[in-house]
Amino acid sequence: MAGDVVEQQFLSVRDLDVAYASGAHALRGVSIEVGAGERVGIVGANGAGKTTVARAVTGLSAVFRATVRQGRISLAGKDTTRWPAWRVLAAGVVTIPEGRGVISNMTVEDNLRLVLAAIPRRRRPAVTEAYTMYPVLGERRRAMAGLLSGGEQQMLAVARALLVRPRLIVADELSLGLAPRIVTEILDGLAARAANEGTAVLLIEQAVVMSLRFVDRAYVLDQGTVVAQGTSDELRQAGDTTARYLGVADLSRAEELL
Amino acid sequence: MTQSIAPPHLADPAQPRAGVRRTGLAVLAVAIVVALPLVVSPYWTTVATNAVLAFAIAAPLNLLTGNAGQFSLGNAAFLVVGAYTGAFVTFTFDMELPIAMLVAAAAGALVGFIVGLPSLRLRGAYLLMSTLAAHYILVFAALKFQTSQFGAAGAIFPPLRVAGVDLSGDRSMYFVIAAFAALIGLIITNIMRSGHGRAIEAVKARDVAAAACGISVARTKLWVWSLSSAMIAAAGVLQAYYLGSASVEFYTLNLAITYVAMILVGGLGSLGGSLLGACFVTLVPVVVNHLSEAYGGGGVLAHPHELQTVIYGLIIIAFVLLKPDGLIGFVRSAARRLRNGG
Repeated sequence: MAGDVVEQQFLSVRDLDVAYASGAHALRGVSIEVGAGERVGIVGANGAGKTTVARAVTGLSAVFRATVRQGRISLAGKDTTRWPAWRVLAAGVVTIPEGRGVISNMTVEDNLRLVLAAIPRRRRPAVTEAYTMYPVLGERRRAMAGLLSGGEQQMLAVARALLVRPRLIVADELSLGLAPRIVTEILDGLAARAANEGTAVLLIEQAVVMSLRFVDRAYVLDQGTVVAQGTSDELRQAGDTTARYLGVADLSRAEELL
Repeated sequence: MTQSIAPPHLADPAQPRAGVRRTGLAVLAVAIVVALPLVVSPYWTTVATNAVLAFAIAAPLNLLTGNAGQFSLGNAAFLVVGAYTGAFVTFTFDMELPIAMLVAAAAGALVGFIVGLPSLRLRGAYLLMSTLAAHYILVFAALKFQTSQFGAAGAIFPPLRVAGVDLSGDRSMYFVIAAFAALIGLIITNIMRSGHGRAIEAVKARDVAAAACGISVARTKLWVWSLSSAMIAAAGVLQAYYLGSASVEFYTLNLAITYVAMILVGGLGSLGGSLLGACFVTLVPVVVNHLSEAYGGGGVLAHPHELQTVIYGLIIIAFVLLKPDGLIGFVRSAARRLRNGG
């Protein structure tokens, strides 16, 4: 890779404080880094602030009436703290929002085309790329996205995100409401493409065990602060305190349960 | 086979037969529009002019409300902004209709942008209330403008002449308005087939999903507000020329609701729906008058105006409750039955 000489994180979040208009103070001094092509997880219980990180990083804060009070988000050294979503996307960061973010009363193909408008015409890929990745989408390309199964909708969201050829994908609660076998299928597809194209992935998940299998390293979030971080192995071996944050009695044994 | 239930305004290049059918329908529609005043009596030419003009105003409103999901009662206000900008340009600078319409469109775009600003924060009924406030503010401003510029009676428009040609006759007026309506239809069709159209639909469906797809929700909303208001304002100039005058009393909330009724009855988010709704709502008073004449005007028919209002109300309630996809919904299901049966 050309960037090997200068060791630089692609995404860098420094001391981030985010509060919602409702008064909820969701993040306090969160710092996170994701290197180019790296797979990083954010795990934690409900209400830990994981989704708020995803929103802040992808420029969706304003849509949810959240404001960055302090801190800095940068992409490849550029300050993007207050950028709207469309600018962040143009800078190579695409999000798979919680709840999949597909538009149910549009066809599968129109959902895919929607994202292409954000890409300059000469670099625009063909929609069919998505069908190569998940053939079921090609079979159902004229169906309304709302009529797809949950798993197919999530495939649509992943394929749509990859169509942009992003440098970083931020996936929020990808596994929510899906059978483990489907999640594995979707993640395998994502992992293969990401590895192929050097795309970094920030995986935000409540399902710790599944998440730790997919990522290289992870941050543990609790009540808006990072309480632990390390490689997947380190976190699996971590003591009771970390496990308790994650709502799992013993991470090293939780693995066996799956 | 999975059944395709794509909305008709989202063009599907993989279905060339649908494209041919659509072109055929368009050609047929143009033929009917052109032939109509040559066949029917002057009275029905006037009715047709009213319907076509109503379509030219309802269609942009439908783009805003039906496609982009932005509820508005501001149409009458945009019409008066257009009419008075047009009048000012026409009288002060002695400009011809096309120029007056362009300037009115620019004014409409600006006012639409401002009236659309609350839509970045408000939705549904709250947004509707803010457009209601905008209606009263703009009509009040128009009244002040009218008093200072044109006098208490409002602006009196001369017979329409473009490039020295007299177009003020019933038939020529009909053709001018029909040509404008066709242009509006063409613009909206093209927008809804483009990436802009998908962005508009996405913003209506889900702000977050749209934003996640790299669509600037704010820009898209304000763009639609400006565009639809520009078209309505341009139509306002034509309407004023057609009526011969523009006076604030004409631009009531009732008028605004009439156009909302058209798109509700015709079908939200559909150009064909705008046309059907415009024809339908234009024909209600005509039919009531005919009934009243035919049956000697006894009983309820002695009050045709009140009867119209009641009929409007009942029709809107009936459509909202029983046929939310409007008249175009009947056409669609009939077409589907024809295709599957034959």
